Amino acid sequence: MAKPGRASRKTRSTAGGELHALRTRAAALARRAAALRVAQAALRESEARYRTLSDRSIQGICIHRDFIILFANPALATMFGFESPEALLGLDLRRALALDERTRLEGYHAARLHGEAAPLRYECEATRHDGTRIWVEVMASIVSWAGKPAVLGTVVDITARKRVEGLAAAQVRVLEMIGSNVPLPRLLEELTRTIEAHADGMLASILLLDEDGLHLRHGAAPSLPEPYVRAIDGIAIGPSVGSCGTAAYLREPTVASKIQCDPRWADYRDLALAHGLQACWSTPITSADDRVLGTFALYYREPREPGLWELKLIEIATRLARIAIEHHRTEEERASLAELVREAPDAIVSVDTQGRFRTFNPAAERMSGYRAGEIIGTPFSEVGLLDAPSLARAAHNFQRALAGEHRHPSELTIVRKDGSLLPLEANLRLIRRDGDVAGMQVTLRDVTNRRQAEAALRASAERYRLLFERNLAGVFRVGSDGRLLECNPALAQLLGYPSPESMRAINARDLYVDPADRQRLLARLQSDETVTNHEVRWRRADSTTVWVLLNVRQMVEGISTWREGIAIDITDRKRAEEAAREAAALRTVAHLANAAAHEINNPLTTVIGRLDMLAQRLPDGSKERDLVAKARAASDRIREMVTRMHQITRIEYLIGPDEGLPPILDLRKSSDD
Amino acid sequence: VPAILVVDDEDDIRSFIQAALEERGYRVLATRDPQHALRIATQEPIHLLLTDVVMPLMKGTELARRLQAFSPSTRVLLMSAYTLLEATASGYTNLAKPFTADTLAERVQHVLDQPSPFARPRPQGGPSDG
Repeated sequence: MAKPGRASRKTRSTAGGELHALRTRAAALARRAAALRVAQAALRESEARYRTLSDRSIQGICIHRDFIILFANPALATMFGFESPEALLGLDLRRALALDERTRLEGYHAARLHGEAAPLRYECEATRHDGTRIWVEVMASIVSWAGKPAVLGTVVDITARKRVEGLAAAQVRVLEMIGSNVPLPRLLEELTRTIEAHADGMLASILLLDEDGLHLRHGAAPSLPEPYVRAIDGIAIGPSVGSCGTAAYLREPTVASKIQCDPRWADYRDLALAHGLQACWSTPITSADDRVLGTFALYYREPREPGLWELKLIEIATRLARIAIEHHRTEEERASLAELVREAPDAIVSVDTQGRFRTFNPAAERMSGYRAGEIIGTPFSEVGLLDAPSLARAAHNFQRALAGEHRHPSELTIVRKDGSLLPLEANLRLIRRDGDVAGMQVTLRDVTNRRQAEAALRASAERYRLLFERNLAGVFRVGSDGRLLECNPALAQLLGYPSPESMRAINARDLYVDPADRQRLLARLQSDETVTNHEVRWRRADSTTVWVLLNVRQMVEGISTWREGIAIDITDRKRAEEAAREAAALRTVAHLANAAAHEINNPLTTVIGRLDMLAQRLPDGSKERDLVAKARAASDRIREMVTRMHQITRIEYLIGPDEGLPPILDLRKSSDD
Repeated sequence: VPAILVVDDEDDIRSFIQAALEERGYRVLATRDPQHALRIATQEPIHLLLTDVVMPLMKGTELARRLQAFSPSTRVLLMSAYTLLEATASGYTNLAKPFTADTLAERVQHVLDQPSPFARPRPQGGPSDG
């Protein structure tokens, strides 16, 4: 632009004759014209070069004066979402800036124009034509445009870098939250919000796999519609249960870019579409040991496939979710273990390798009467907590256990703070830190109750033994094969053996007079556990029989079975019953006999009386009188028989266990008479 | 002659007793019906009531009690084919069936010989030995 000026000054310095001057001038003009052509050609070439440079640049270039755009290249138009650079001309740059950015950049601009210091290079957030936001880095300098100063800005889109930086910062924030034990629901919500903030239009959701490993529970979904969240809370996982249920089931990412057409969404399609959800990509969250912990899902309100950025987000989210969930579970476990120690009925204490108390749980405080603060830091040998023999034993066991020897539980007596003694059982366990022995964990259990229980058990066993041995009834134990395992002296006596020991070889089946009695007993034991009042006849050692009443119980313990029972000798009762039965039968006979006697006596009176009268009327020695005498003798025999029958009426007084039948009823005796 | 009232529901026995006693000289009145017996006793003096114990209409002991209510001097001799526990308990002399005519006569005489609470003159011409 300065060249034309310089050319006219050179021309003016030329001198000579007019013609010569004219010729010279013409020649000069021709040279000048040629030079100008050359210069113009050079300028055109330069301009074309710069335009190409500007048009093809991937950096945005703009020239503005007081923020009104004078020039823009295609890259800038594309960066801000305009169709062509021309569409940008005349626009106010400040409208693309956030308010606070506007003030800052106006400040830079003013400083630059006044030759004051202003950053040559700065970052700012801007709004594109469609309203989405981008981060840009700008390099600004003052140039002359159409003879006036203007600002040349070179603009680079740094949105991706900013997102990555933001995401990294967000990850750090989430990790910090995990470290500071923020409750899991809040943590997961923060995580989903962080992810949502790093991409447009996505709704993030985390579901947690239930402890049963079969159902998904709500974890966090701050942007999903509440009714939808409720509806999928608790769904069972499966090969075709939307994106999340399927992802958890198949343990692989499940992308439904168009819910409407996705067969895995068949059962949930209407639900999702009713809430405007059109795409869902779900990824299983797996633990370090490869168990499914839950799913992380991104929903969209339009059909979409994940891009590289979204895949990156999903990867980060699932990693963070895994850390959060595992940390939470570990923390829960640690808390429950701590609670276990705190609430344990047993004293749980730990000591270091020098025997100094390191921890002392509340049960230990209760048992000893000391507060943890009084004890911790002091070696157990100096607290005065153990009586002398216990202390010696404890010190010995402690040293041996430190040396890696296994120690069985040992009993100690502690001296409580109030001086009373308490028996305890101590269990030692070595504590290792990074492979080195760091101390000993000691569990102490109050065995007062157990000692009492043991004493009671011993007493009870003794009583039972006496009951067994001194019982008047026979008590026995028989194996399932009938072998007599054990019996008391009373049974030996009942069966006529000198001692229980002498009955070892006996099998129960040989005892029964009638084997069917035993079969009936065993059959009843098949259906009932216990059989009572079973009356059988047993054979004694001397082959006599004895009636016994059996109460038998079938016993099962593990794989062994046996029968236990009590046998009572009821032979006397059986005899008395038999006698009573016979007496009742005899009474019936007696009544019959009495009635018969009456019926016989009346006519017999007539027969005897009439025969006597007849005899008196017949001459002595006559044949007729002899016949009457025979008839009379027969009548007397009848009378005598009836008289004996009378005696039956008193039969009940006569019958005793060893007395026989009255003669009248004893057919043998009667016929002998 | 002592009057003896014989009561038994068995006709054969009644006729045998009547024959045996009449043969020995007693006056015998006989009936099978206890009510009839009571009526007889109101119409003439009876020295001895000889009655069966077990009868369908009235027990012999009951008949004796009723009869003695209006004729206390009448003696009683019970007969029974049953065990005589009940008859013995009644306090009356008794005679077990069956019996011979001699035993009967001996018992009848024995009862008649017992002293009367009313000291009646002993009846003349007692039973003969023949």
